Amino acid sequence: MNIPYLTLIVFLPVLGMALVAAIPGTSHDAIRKMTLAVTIAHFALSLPLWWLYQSSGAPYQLIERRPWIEAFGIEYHLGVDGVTVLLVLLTTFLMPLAVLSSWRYIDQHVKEYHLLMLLLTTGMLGVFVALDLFVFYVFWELMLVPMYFIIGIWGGEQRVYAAVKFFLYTLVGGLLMLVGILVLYFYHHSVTGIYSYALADLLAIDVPLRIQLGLFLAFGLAFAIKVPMFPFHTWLPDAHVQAPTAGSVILAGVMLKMGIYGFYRLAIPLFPDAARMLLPWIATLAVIGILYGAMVALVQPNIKKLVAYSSVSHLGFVMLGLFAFNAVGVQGSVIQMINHGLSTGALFFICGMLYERRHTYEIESFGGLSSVMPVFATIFMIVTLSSIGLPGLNGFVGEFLILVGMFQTHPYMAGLATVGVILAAYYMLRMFGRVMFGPIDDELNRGLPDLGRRELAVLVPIVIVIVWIGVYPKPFLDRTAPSVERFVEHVAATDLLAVEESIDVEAPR
Amino acid sequence: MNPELQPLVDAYRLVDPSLGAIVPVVLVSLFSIVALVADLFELGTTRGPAEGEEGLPIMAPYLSILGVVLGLVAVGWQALRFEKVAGSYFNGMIVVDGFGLFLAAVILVGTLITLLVTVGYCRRENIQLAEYYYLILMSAVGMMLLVQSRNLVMIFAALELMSVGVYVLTGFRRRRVRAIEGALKYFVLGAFSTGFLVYGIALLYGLTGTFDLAAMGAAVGDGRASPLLLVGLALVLVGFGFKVGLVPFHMWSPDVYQAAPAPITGFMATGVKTAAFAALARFLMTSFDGLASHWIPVLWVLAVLTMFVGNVAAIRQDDIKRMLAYSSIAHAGYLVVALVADSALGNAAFVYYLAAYTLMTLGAFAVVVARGVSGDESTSISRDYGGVAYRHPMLGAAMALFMFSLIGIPPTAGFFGKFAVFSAAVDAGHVGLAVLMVIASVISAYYYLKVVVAMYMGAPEGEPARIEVPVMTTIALIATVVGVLALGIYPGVWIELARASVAGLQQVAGLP
Repeated sequence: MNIPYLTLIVFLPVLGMALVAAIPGTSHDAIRKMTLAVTIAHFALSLPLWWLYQSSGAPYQLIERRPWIEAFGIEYHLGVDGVTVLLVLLTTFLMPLAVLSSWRYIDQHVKEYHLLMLLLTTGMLGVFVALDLFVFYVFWELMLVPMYFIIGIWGGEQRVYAAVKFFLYTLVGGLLMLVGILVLYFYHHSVTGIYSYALADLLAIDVPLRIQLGLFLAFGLAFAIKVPMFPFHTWLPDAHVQAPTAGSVILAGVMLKMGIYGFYRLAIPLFPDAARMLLPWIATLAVIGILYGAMVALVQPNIKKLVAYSSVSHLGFVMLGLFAFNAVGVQGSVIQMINHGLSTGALFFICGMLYERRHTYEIESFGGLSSVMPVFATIFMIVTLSSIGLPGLNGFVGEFLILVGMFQTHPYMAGLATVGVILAAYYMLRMFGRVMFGPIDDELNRGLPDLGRRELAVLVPIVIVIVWIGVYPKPFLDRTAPSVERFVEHVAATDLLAVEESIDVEAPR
Repeated sequence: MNPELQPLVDAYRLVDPSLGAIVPVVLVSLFSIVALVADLFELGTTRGPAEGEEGLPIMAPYLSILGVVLGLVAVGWQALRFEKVAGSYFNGMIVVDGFGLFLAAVILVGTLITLLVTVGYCRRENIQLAEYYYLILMSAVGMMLLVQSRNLVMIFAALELMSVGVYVLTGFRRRRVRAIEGALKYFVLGAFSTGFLVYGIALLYGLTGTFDLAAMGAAVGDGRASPLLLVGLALVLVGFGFKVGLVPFHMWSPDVYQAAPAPITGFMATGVKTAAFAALARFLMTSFDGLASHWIPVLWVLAVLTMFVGNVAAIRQDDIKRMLAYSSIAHAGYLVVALVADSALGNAAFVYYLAAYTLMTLGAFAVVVARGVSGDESTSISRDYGGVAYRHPMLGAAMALFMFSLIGIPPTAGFFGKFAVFSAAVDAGHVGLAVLMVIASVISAYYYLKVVVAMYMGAPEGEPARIEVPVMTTIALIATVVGVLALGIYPGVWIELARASVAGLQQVAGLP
């Protein structure tokens, strides 16, 4: 029997929405418990993916493919590769924690909030598993709507501004990508006579460099805004700071990965020549992003903003690794995506916990918390060190591989990026020191309770994975290695092809 | 049988197939008259009550709803027997083809939703007059004839039939200054634009010797255009441009949309626009396809102007009816983009977009009507829509869906409509135009989101009263929500239908 496993994973949250919708809006706890149950069940359902995906097998597995809109050659086409598996699991892993973390924080319109969280999950997973560009686009835009509401309804003071800005930025990128998709689609038709949005079909044709450049820019803009790359990052601090804790976690943990994933899955493989040609520019922007993000983080008086800007810096690293175009760098980039999801997700959870206690994010208001909240201090320390990239924790693995990969191709870039690592250590540790150590100079901080059971349940799973990846990353690297190899080969192979073509043209008859 | 009746039977036999072609139109007109007459004989009716007096329910709403439903059934019946009924009747005055049938169905669905919303509205506003329904149905008849005619004289007559009804409906609340102002403005400018149209038709007739679009197409041919022919074409374009609200002929629409009763505004924004656009498309595709290189650049510019002026002006509006008026101007721009593509795909996208646009716009207007209270339509977005989503969650959710559909977010009808238009534009090589449409769409997102922001992120001003949604309006809302989602999630069936419907539009010369 053929179970549509990926469809189940993608749409289980929608089924869960029906369950949650059936509960009356006033019984808040029942809604929270039901959503938690759904998300845990969802994680359990997605866990077998780890084993079902054979890293030695076909490039894309668990494929589902059936016609959807035949007039346009659009198919409902899903599948996973090694990188997708990790990202799907990261998403389903973070969702129950996000629901747990908003147990107290969300006390208004509770039902709507949880319905939107579930819808958001479906949108994000759909983007990861789509192998048809139309399906990809549909999910890409679909996930925009719930996030817009989550920021706009449950966010901070400036929530409406942040939500609309987030929406418009993403929409402009997305729609330009749609035009790009259509140009590619009609180009594919003009070459092969077949109407198809299937990624595999579109990968099979050679696109002239002139068209590639335009399309790469259209796709790249959509993804660069999402990553976000400098200078398209300005929506991010607003969205992050205004979003409720769970919103920030999902935004940082999963949604920012969409941009990187878009480059990995679509923009670079579809337009490899353009990608190679624009590499110096993108790498430069990535390095600027690393340094700029780090320096702005350095002067932030607000913990959440600091973490938000550190995201800009970290994602610069991820971009840099991806554009190293060698196995080591890309591998590092993939691992770093997961790491960033875990450690920055955890940092946002921690910000939320501080906020729930003191209703402020100002570093100034804290100090000496380690003596009042020892357990909290320990976990915060681990997460901070992971974010900095201390050996033995996950961040180190990713950053190290990225720098090694980049050093082989662009040593100067790697050198500059290293400065970002040093700055990261400085601003993270300084923030940690000012919040956790020193004298307790504010009486309000004296009686703060340490982590409760619910909060431990949020943070401990993340810390376990952080240590696991840091100490023994092999299973994660093994999962993704074949996919990464194929990615690198594809980029390189088309290079040879292009060279051969040019020889063909120039050779005298 | 009485032998004296034999000549009548013979006469009937003579026109019989032609009658089959106009069954939907006849049904709707018949019921509009029945509704009016029933009112005359006071079948459960009362004349318009004095100010402040409670009017008794009248039969007209139900009769007119029945008429439109029967009209829809007749259109469906024609579609099922398409092979047999397709063709040209009454010397080309009426054609039965896919394009006409598809859009007649869209218009009837739009009329039906308008009527459903109107029932609750009229009860609330105490407008218990059968004339109101009669005028709506007669306008609908004009629209149906407009989409099903291939003769410029018929098109002109149908356009007037449609417009006169709408002029009166705009000023129906005659004790309000603004309603009178809007109606007069609409009438004077409408008459003025009709002048352009008639002058254009006269020139074209003089040059080609025919009113029939197909024959005109044959006369125009692919050759070089005489300057006078182009002048005629331009004048007709201006006439239609006014009716569909293309920039720079759009000035009337915000005032008129604001002045008319909310259900009528929805009717104007969808029905009138669909019918006039359909006639324009038929005119361009059937008669002037050969001279496409002349009108494509003109429409290209009009499309860009319309999209940008509509969307930018909408940003500043706080009155939701004015905002939707500018939004409908912007959507007219998107529709012109589909015409600029001048291809089978473009025409399919065009009719699909009209269907999608009708559903989502009427849905939005149904919410606007439902939000109003007696004597006050409550149309200020910032003041009246604050926290609506929490006062009536379903109403808020429906409005949010329509707004996202108007922006073009999947999986809604609006998204797939835009997708089809983008496809057509890119396919025809107008990538630049597609990119401009993208930018316009992003601008539009801002003001559609304003409504969502108010409903979900704003607080109600003062003591929030319960929002009462009449049963009929609820039915209309459910129908539009289901329609918007069905067209968005399963667009395949509809786009196939749209594609089939426009099959003969561009090479109609072969028809009898």
